[in-house]
Amino acid sequence: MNAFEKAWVLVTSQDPMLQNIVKTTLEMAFSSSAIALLLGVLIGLVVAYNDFPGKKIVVVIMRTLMGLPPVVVGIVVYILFSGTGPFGHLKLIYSVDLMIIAQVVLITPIVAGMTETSLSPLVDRMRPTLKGLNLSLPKKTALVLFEGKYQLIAVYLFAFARAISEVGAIQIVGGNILNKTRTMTTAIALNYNTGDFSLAVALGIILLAIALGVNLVAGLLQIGLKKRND
Amino acid sequence: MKKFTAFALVLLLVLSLVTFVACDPETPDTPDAPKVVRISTTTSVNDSGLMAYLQPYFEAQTGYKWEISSAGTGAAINSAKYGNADVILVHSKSQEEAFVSAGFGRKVEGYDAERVSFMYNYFVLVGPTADPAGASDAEGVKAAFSAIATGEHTFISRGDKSGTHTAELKLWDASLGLTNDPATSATYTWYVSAGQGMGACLTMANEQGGYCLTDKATFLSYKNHADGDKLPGLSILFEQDDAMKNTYSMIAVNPDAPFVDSVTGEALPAGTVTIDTTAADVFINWMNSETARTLIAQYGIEQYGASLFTVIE
Repeated sequence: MNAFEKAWVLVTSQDPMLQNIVKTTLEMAFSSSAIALLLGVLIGLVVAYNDFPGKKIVVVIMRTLMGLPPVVVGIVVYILFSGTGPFGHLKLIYSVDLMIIAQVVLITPIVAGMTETSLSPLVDRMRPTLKGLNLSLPKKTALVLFEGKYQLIAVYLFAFARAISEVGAIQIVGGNILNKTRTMTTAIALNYNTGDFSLAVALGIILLAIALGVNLVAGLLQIGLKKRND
Repeated sequence: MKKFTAFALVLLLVLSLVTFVACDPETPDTPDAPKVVRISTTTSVNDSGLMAYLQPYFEAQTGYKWEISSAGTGAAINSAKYGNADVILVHSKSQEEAFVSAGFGRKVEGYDAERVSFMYNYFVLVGPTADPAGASDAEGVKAAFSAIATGEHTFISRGDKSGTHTAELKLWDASLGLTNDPATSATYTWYVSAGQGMGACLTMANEQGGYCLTDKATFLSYKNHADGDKLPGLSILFEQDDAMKNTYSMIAVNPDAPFVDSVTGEALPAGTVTIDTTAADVFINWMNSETARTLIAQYGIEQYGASLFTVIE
């Protein structure tokens, strides 16, 4: 059986184990990308809009953090949240919640950096208007976000792609526990270890199909927004 | 074109709603939180499928769920030292003894020692079927390893401080000076310190025509895979030497162990780390029950024609 056939059999068989893995994957990817989007856009916007001493340094730091190695983030989060760590009493080790925390640490700098880069020209253009209109801070923010919606959808898609495809950090903090913290990527890594290559590729195909679905929806949204603007 | 936007928005909303409803962790099927035993084990036990095979029997008979995280023996033991496991199931005597003598083991009532050895199998030396080193003709396993070193034939080492890695290091001639420090093999071009799991190392040995020390369970599961032979170039060249005996033990984690803060390294006050001793007892007792022993002894016969583990009487 080739990988495509296996993927099809898996999807149509309604295997409860696969359903659980997909559920965990989606929960982890949607939650972490949404939280990271919220935090990252806020940070990116603050840096893009304001002029302050040392801004260049902040931007450089932000862009450096975009390259945080997932395994290192995984180990640090693992140490902090282990039973013997400072946050051990929260009992989050080997849980989906801790996987989301690790992902937020990884993805927020990416969202912040991309927001800052993509919204800076827009913010620079809008600054005189915003100052002239003398709007309240929430209204100003809303206006900038509305004008930058295309860029932000692209930023979100990137954050989601990172969240759903990441394996190094969540493997460590989640422990790849069956029916609890096993996601599609950690299952793929496990199937590689157990020699089930075609099953691993089949899971990869399903993962890509999910990513395609999310991208299609976002694409429709972008087209829709554009047509309404025209 | 408002319709179009509305459609896309509704689709996105429905998608996220479905996800969040489906993933709501606050809707447990049972009112009581399930009793859980946290097991830290090695890849060879988990990847051979043994634990997945035992799990439904264990959960049905004890009412406990088990949560298994698997890594090399070194990492599996470390996870317990970090307070993340109630019980460990590993296969490296020296590392287990160090774990117990450091105070991390707990004697379960009815057992003689902290370390409960309950099953074994043999490591096997695998390599290219043509066997250029002549390992299969050697008098003992140490002679076979010497032949590989002398002929400078490619050898794939786990290189990850796992139980298999520890066992492999004991089989080399002492004059080679190989330890689990990768620097000791730096000058040996034939010695590949892969730093990967058992399956990945076997695949590498198969590709490169190298030798490899493996647990028999993983090797057989690759050889007799449903998709066909995953290691067509490799054969078992040497087995059943006493030096290759691979014993698996369980150790319950001591809640009063000298845990140290994982950030500062300072001693933690007693009771900081939560270890479920009842859960560990249930697990160890069940693994030693007649049911489990029979199941373990039968594991592999149907699929590979031979049992993969022998239960210790």
